[in-house]
Amino acid sequence: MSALPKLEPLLLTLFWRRSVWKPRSLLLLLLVGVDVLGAVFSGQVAPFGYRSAYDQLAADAVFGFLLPFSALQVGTAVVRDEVESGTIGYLLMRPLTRGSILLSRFLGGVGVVMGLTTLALVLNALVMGQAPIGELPRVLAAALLGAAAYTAVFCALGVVLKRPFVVGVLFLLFFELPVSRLPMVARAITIRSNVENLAGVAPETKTLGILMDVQVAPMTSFLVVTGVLAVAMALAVAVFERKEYTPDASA
Amino acid sequence: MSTVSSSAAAVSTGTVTLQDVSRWYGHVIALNNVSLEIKPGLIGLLGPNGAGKTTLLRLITGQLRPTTGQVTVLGESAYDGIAYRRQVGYCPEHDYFYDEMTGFDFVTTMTALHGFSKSEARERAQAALEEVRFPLAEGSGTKPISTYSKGMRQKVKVAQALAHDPKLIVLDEPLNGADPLSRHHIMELCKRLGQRGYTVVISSHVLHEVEAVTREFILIDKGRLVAEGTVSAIRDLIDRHPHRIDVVASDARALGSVLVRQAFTASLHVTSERQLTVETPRPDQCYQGLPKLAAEAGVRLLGVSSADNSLEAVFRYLTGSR
Repeated sequence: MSALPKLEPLLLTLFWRRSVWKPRSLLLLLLVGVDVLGAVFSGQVAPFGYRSAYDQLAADAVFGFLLPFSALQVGTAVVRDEVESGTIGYLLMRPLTRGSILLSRFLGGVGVVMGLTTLALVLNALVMGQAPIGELPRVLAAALLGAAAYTAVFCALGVVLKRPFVVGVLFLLFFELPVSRLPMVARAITIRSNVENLAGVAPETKTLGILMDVQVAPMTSFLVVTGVLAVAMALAVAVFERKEYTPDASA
Repeated sequence: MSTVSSSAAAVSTGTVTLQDVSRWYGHVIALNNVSLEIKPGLIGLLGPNGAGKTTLLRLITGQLRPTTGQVTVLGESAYDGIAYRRQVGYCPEHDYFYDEMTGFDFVTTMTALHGFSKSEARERAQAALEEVRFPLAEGSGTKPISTYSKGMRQKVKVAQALAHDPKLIVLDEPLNGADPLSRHHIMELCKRLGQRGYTVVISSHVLHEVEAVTREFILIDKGRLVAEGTVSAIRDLIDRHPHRIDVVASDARALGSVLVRQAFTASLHVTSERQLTVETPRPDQCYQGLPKLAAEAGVRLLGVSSADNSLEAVFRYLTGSR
């Protein structure tokens, strides 16, 4: 079994290699481009409710849209891509545990999402010229955690459901995005608001009224996001280890 | 690994052992209480479409879990075992590929995922593709798989199943779509591997091609194991069933009137003035007695043949699908 540790990186790079050729990669790069265009214009206007225009763009465009949407695209594909192309059988027949197959591909997915998010955040900073470069490592660290948590949630959906993308869109549109802008502590149950909190780019509460005046400690946000990540991946691995995946029995 | 499978492996000399294996898809049974042992050599898995061949192969390769029973491969539970997978090569029936890859790249990647270094995986991929006569020299190895013909895809699938030198090679309908020359090469390759001591399981519904390279068969139909063993052993099984012998004679009716009185004749049909069909549970007696009986009847015997000598006929007998 000495060669087994070498196989997980191979699976990870296989995921990346395949991702390059997917139409969704082009779509996600286009979204980064749109975000950068937004940065060009955002630099010209005053921020609303944020410390700076960079914070506003990071919160609304990157953490509110690009990060969750790219995680949706990539996370749901961690397993479904292989099932739909019928190649899952090849992977499951390799001398690897199912858990390590899933985790390797999940890490590949986090890498893709993080790469896109980093590209957007760094380009935004460069284009706007007014970004707090010193705070970029904190923003990127929060983004990494957010990328992992979102990808884990969508990976779990991809493992459990036959149509994970639709459920993922509903989750983003009717839970993550609206609840993360709710007043009161309710928003702290969303990944987005906790990632913003960790990155230090959350809307300034005092401008939005007393009901928003509930601050969540960064440690609490960290625990919520890592908790979501851990629970989602535990569920995904547990189901993946039990579920049979063959091209005509994939449901 | 469970205690049951360990003990099964301990008493078994086979590469693959199935003990009372059933597999259901919802309310549909795909494999019904199958027990068998597969030993080294080339074995043909035969059955009509929908018989349960692919389900059986997926159980053997650990892609499916049996609903009941135990599948043991090289001493490990097929579904839960990990280490044995390095010794298993599988060629699926359908074309499942990373289409954006080249054939060479695909086989290299699949081989590397068995734990070989990149350089060794490349060498093995090259050797396996050459072994299946994939046209590497003509540059096909550098083109995306999506541009390949059906026959080339088939060769790539077979090559990836062989490249890591597995002890157990499972090929699900490997001849589908292959041109006649490729079919011949693939079957000869399987035959050589079987002779070298590998366990090669090849499923097919094209009986004569498999019959040409092996005498060991597993016959399944409607999820049930119909028969297993050599052709002669299987033929012994069907001796309970009447064989059909077609006779051409100068006067079929006259010959029929003699034949119908013989003990070996189960039934007799005169199909034309010169042709009749005898159904007999003792074909040897029938063949031996025919010339003498024809002479007694004053009939000239013009030809004797049996449609039941092929494996296809054996299969028809055993499955009752005449």
